[in-house]
Amino acid sequence: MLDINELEQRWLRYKIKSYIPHGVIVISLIVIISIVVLFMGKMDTKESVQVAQKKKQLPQKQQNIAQSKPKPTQQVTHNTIKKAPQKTQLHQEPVYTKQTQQKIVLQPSLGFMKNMQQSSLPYYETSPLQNTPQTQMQQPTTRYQQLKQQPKLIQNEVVTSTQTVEEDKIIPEEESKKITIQRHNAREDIAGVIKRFKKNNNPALSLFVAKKYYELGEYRKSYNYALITNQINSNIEASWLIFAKSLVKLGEKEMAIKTLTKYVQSSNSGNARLLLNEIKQGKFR
Amino acid sequence: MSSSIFESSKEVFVDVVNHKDYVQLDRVSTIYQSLKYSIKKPLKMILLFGKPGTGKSMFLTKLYNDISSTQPVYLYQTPILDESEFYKTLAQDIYGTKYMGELNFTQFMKIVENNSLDSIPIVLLDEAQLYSDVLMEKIRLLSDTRTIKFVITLHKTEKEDLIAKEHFQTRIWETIELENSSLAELKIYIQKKLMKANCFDTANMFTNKTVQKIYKFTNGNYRDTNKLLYTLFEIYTIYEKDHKLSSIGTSQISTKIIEMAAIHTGLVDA
Repeated sequence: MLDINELEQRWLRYKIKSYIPHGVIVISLIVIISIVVLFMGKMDTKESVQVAQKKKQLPQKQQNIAQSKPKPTQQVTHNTIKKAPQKTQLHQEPVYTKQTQQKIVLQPSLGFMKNMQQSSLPYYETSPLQNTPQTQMQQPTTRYQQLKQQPKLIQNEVVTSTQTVEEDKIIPEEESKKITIQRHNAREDIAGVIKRFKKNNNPALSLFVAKKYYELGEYRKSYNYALITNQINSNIEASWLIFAKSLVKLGEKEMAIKTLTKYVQSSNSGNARLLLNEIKQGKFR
Repeated sequence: MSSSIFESSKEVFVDVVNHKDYVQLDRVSTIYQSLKYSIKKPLKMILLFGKPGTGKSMFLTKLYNDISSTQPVYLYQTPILDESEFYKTLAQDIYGTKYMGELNFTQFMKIVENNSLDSIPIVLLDEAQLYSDVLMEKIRLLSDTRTIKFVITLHKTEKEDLIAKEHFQTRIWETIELENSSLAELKIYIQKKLMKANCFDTANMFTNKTVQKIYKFTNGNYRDTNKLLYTLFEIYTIYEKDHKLSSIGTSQISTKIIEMAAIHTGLVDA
């Protein structure tokens, strides 16, 4: 005679045991699916950002601003009124960047603090005044004054960019979560540096911001901040290099060559010449 | 449903070799016909092999019962391991010669030569893998004389497969392999078996799903299926006595009961 109660207990144990692998598989699947969905979502965002960035074209207005920069002083003073629309164009840039920032590819800033410490500050090494062309001395000053008159607009730009970054949180494909945190910090730090720059107008800070934006691939912003730096101090070699590099990145190779040629003529900078040759030869793209 | 249905169904699956319990399935029937046909051929030996529980013993029993009325056939379900005893038994059964003392191969061959029969006797040896290699060699020599025809069954395991190759494959004859049933065959096997015993109600309880579950545990092995179903109906009988049938239902065989039977018979580890 069978002991049914004992057999039922054994059957119950058997059923529980048989459901364990199923449970494990289901849980694993849920975890895997959720990870995949999360990952795919981020991949889609990144892809759309890349596509958008490829399609991004430099507005014609920017060319006018850049072209006008290396012009002699006589023209600057003369064109103060004429350039009014150009000034507005310059200040319209934040509007443009605000739109594109939604699709900007974010790249991790690895140990930027360390880089900051290591990087030389060439803008402190002021070259003799007679070496710099008179035009460069005057033109940036006027531009800076113009910019100073519009602090709110710049502030808006900064706030918008940081907000967008925080909202998007685009993770580069090859980087882990750790990198995401670093990038976020870099953004915060850039925002902090911009705030400080607004308080003391130190060109070292604006150059730092330009460098950081260039490293992050935000060439429009790096161009802007390099331009601001040049306006404050036109003898900073690094700033002109970033300025020219940003122009090349923005597809304004001719403009970059033109600007850099003038700078080389006035400063006789070896690095600038080197970069100029690279740009001309197409080595730097 | 009457209380005796599960009891009688249980009895159907008692694991005994009885030719009356032989269930005619298409594939099995074909094999059986080919075996019967082979018997008529001038073959010296026929080898019937397969895994345990595939119906080899049933085949031999069925063959014995089918042909015993028409020709001399001798069935040895239990192996006679002693060589002398083996010869003595054959001498007595086939030729009616009682031999006192030890009987060796040479002496047995003399008996065979002195007693000519009208038709060649057929000796059916079950569980032949239990015979020693020496005795198997003698059986082969004996069959070579064409005075006795042997039908032997072997378990097909790795080792026994080797024996089969060494002893028989180069010299033979006829080999018939028996296999486990397929899913469809298993359903027919169960239902036919129950219907033979007039257990129509329980036969109807075996749906495709339940047979599939049984097949999962037994892999179509007849012996394992018999064991499982015997226990299954025993559990049903107890549930019936305890008035717990309503909890498992009687429209079809409960999966729970199949699993319980599998646990009890050791077909599944719980």
